[in-house]
Amino acid sequence: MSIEITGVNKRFGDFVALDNVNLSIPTGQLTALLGPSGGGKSTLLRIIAGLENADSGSVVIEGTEATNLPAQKRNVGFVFQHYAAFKHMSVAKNVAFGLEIRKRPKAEVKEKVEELLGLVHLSQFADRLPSQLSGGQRQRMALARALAIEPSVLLLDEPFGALDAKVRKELREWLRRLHDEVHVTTVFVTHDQEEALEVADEIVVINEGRIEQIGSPDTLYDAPSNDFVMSFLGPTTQLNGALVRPHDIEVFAHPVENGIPARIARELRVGFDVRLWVELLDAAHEEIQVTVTRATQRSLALAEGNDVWLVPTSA
Amino acid sequence: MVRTHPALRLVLRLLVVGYLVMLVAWPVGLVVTHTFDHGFTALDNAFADPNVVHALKMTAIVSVISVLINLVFGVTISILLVRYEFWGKRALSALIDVPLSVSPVVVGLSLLLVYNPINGWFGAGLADAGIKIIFSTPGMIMATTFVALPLVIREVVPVLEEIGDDQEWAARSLGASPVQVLRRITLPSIKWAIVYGVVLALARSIGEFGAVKIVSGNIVGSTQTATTVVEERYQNFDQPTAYAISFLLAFASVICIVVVAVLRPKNES
Repeated sequence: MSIEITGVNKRFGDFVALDNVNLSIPTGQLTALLGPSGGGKSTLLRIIAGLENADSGSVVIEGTEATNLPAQKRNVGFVFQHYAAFKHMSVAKNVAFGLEIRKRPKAEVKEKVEELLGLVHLSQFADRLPSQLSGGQRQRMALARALAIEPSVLLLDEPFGALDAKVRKELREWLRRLHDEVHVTTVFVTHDQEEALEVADEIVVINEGRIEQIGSPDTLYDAPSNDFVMSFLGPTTQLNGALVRPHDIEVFAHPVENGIPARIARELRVGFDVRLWVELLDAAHEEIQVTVTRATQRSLALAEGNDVWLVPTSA
Repeated sequence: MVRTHPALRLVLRLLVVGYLVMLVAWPVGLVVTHTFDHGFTALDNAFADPNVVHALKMTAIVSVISVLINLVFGVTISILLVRYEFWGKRALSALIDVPLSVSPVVVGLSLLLVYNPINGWFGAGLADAGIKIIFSTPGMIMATTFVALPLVIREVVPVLEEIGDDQEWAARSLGASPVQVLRRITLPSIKWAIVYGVVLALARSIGEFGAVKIVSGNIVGSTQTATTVVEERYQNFDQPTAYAISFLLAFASVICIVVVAVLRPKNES
């Protein structure tokens, strides 16, 4: 195990940021800390990096007891949401920073910086200042800077949070590919479930200072251990008192066995998906949400006002 | 850009220009013209007077030393105020503005009360140890430092707040020690604020009059400074010398402003 966190507690005044957190993060994987804002995930990351001290508990990184080590001795790479670019230094100087601090020979530094700038596709920007780069480029520079010191773990705090949707998606895919090339143990914090599902090997769901569930993206999505995880990892709707995913409900245009009769109240098409709000034709007249594909909608000729029969497909 | 009527714009412009001319440009301009009424004779005579030269030297010594003190303490206090939480921080922050609001004469008097060699709190003890503060250079440096104290801090604090501590933490995580972070990250990022603060403090120190006059005792040829010599000469009907030194003081301030304007990078506002 690359990072071992045992019994970590952290309070800010009356606010409990982390409540007795125990976590093992495996070597060489991409792990996401996922949860709502203020849930404690960034605090946990900062404690791993040594940017914040835990009130109690211990942190072991690659077998080294790190609880009381200052940040500069932990050999972790940290990437901030707002890049934290050294504004007065060129891109190359930014990347070289950690190596120059370590007093590596000039030729070695130069070679390493060139290699890393190539890796993050910024070779032609080496002599620019960070202010002359776009947000996505700045974040790639920050990543190269963190990788330069060959960290035992790479920590990213909402790395794509400040970027626009398109760049965010590109960088996400790029990070996944980069990780497959570099294989450094990586932990990243996000509140975006799509980001976590798309990029991570393993997801740790954190809420109100506690770990709700740990597992692969598939496990968490298909077998959430509680309603919080289920509702945080994707859309949900209530059917017969249970949480189900709107796309895990099969829709029939004719009566079927165990089918729940309902009527389509509204429909909204979003790209390939069609979202239906259907009113259950029972005593409560509850409205629930069902998602079908465009193809299904067309083949069943679903339209507002139609009667349908619903069958939950999972569980 | 707000659309305004051309006539209104003209009126506003005249108002601003007129205000500045009446208040600043004309009076200062008169000092310059009076200085050069008879060519360079006023300046030549002033520089020929050993007491004047000594006063200018005193101003230079006192200003430079107090600016250096304010530089070191100003940057330290700024970092303390922005980056650390401690008990009494708000009180300290408020206290720093005192020199801006209190009249320099009060500053001079209060230093006199504490350090005078006869019945001052520390003065007597220091006098016994052979250290003279009042009516001597150390007291003048203290008075000047006190008066210019907030200038560096008020320039540096907002910049430190604006840049945040992410860069510093990034440097720490890359292996930099606190001293390396200070030298390579913090100081370079607040460089221009420091330069600006230093220039303001220097201009303020050179021009200080009230506090220095009280603690120096204004002893001709010994503790007299450029500003106090101006007053003395003016009152003794040696106006040409008074104008000449005034011109030098104004000139020094203009140089300060020009230096900042030239040094400050274009893209920084």
